[in-house]
Amino acid sequence: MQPQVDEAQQSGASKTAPGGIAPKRPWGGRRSTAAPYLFLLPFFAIYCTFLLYPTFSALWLSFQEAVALDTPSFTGLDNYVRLLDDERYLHALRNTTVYALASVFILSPLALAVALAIRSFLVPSANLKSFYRISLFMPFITSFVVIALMFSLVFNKDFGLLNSFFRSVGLPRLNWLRSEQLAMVSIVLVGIWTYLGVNSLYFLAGLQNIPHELNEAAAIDGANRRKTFFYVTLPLLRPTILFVVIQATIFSYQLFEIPFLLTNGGPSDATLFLSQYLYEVGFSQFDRGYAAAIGYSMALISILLTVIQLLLYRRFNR
Amino acid sequence: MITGNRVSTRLWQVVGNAVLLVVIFLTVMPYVYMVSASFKPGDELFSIPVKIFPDSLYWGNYDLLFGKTNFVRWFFNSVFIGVSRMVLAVVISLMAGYAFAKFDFRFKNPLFLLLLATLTLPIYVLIVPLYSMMVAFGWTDHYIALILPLAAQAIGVFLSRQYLLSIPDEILDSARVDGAGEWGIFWRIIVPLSAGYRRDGDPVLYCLLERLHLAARGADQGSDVHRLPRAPYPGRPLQPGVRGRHGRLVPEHGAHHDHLPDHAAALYRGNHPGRGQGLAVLRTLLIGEDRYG
Repeated sequence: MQPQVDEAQQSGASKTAPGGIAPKRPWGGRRSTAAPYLFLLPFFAIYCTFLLYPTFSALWLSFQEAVALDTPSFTGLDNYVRLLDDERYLHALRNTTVYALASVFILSPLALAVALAIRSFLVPSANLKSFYRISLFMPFITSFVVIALMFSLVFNKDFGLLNSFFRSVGLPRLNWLRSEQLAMVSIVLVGIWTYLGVNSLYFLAGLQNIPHELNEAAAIDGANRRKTFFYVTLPLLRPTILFVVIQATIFSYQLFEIPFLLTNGGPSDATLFLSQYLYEVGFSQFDRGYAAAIGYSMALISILLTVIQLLLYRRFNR
Repeated sequence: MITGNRVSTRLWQVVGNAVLLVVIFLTVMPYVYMVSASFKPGDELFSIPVKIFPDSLYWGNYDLLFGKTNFVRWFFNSVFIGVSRMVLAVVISLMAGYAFAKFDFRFKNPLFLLLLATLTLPIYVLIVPLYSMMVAFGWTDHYIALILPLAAQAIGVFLSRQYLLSIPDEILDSARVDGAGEWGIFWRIIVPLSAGYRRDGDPVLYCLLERLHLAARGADQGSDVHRLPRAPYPGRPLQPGVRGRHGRLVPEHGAHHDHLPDHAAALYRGNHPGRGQGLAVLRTLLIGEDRYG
């Protein structure tokens, strides 16, 4: 931040500068007031129109009763109160939370394990390391629609790859996508498949920031690998862990495409996620006010969980 | 490693890589099966001994795709929308990032905070009102409805800003001495310097590494920890020594020789595009200044 005084000096200096630097410039000098605003203008024009306006418009909508083409009427917090009594909403919230818990407590540790393995002496060659990294990263850049298509082939009860493998090793065939108990498991498996690679890349990046000297120092002091991991690596990895957990939580609460395409929320709402419920309410039932309230509830949940994680982290770090 | 038992080390390597290869196999298998399914006729795909590879290459599915459907047009749609949105997003984000990185102006901080605040909102909140807007503008069934609304992404501004902080002011000042206007500086200095970013190194990991510096170094603007990078980064346009010499070149034209220590710190701080996003954003917003231990 340059102080104002500095600004005055600069413009004064440039006017009296030897060599007669032309003070007239079409976009103004560095210290002129117009240039930065003009550079910001295109971005903020689009940003205010298509992001800020809909954000506030949705907030306003969530306080209204607006169904189909009827004239909306203000109803205060009614939509939010309605959420608390809506069994399908609560069911979707529960499903989404189960998925979020799985991605924090199953996916993230798995990703850490993969990252540690790739980083450690287990994989000595650099080429092999980058082979693992690149193969694991592939699902993350694959469209969700393609992923859903692939897994509909894999999970098919009669003709699927997984069941044919199960049969060849003598296990019973399972109805992965159409049984109430297994459908959620399948969605979690697809989630792990999709995000394992990118999360282990986050961990790999975090591990790379830990200087080797520290591990060596610990080894000289007589720590074995396990101790080095728990007393050196893990504490230094805390910021990365926090980052991975927060983004896993946020992504989980926004998951839409995979359950929507793979199971369509079924069987009997066993895999109904919040985002799909929002979609149904907003675009099939045309209850726009209520849909906006669901959207804001999702945002609030994400923000709340992030704040809790940050506070926990802060406490833990003291 | 340090412990010397060679046989057990080898054994662990074999086991470890076997496990990793199984993970890779599980990752790759669905792709293989999808590609192989595309070469099977429908009845073979749904036949009982499930085969991973088709009996013979059946091209009918591709005939259908390219001959009977409008696939080429669909592909064009995707490419057109993707490229337009990308070009638009890069230009306007770079412009806004340049303003935030290299200018001081009123409302700079409030505007930046406004940008940060909207990062936490899920897109689903916006869908319903956005749809109504598109209807009101008469943009339904038009490309522009898919291109324009999503072109202004806050994340792009952060990435540009973080990167542009690393370009020394002296370069811009010397361009001004040579009579370049702000618009000319943007196109002839800022854009070319930004284009070379991430030219070498492992692109994927490098990108992620950069993102993670926010977490690992605890160094966004609010922080007082400025550790120097241990190794030169590929994205750094100039070595620090170079900017020192440039700093002496134009002292009468308001080079910040009186702010040099500050500036040098900013040079290092600003070296990691993407650091200001996400986590650091939330942290700054919610708990103010913080320092990672």
